[in-house]
Amino acid sequence: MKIKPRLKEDLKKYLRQKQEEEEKKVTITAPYRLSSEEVKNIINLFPELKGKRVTQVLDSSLLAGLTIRHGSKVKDLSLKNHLMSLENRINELA
Amino acid sequence: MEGLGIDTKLLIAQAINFALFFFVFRKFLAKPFMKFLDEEKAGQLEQEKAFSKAKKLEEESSKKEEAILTKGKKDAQEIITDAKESAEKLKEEILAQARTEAEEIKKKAKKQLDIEKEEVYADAKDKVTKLSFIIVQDALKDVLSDDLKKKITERILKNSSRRSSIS
Repeated sequence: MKIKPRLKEDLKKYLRQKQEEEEKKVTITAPYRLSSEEVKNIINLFPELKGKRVTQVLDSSLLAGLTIRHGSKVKDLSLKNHLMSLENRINELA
Repeated sequence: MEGLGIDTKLLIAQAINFALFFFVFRKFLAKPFMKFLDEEKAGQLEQEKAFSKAKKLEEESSKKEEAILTKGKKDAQEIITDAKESAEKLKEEILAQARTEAEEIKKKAKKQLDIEKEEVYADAKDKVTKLSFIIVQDALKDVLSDDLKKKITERILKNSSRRSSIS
């Protein structure tokens, strides 16, 4: 299917815009509400998050720890992820 | 002579008769008669020869017949023996082949069983592992208080700061 060049350009522009908007946002998912102190500590740990708009999301399935989503990148520091890694390692070894 | 009952005239007549007979016989009959006798004798001899020849031939043919029969029996026996040996050999070959094939089938079946056993074992292990982790997660959900969650989060962040950057 041949896409019109104009449409292609518009799509590219839109995606670029979206990406830039996402780059400005940071979403921290945790099983409990993080205090501002904790959020500050997290931002200090990851300097690339400085100056970004932080949003918190609650997800009890993480058990403990948190996940940080910045643009298209995700850092999974949850206990659930640790348990899953342990499970995979056990399967590999067994 | 008359006193003995001998008639001289008769005697003389008989003698003359006999002489005449003898003369006639010798003159006219002796040769053909002798010839006839000789011929008869020769014929008899020939018959005897022919008879003995025939007997000899009969004996020979009888011997030949016997020899042929004996040879025929021997050949038949040899054929039967060969056939028996071939049948035995073939039977052994078929049995050996059947045994080999049975062994192959047994080996394949055992191998298949082992593979399936491994698969079942791996599957069971996988399920047990998954189930264990689900149980642990569910248990942790109930057990972890907010404080514990905070402490764990701090520890995770501490460890992470040593190792990683954003993926």
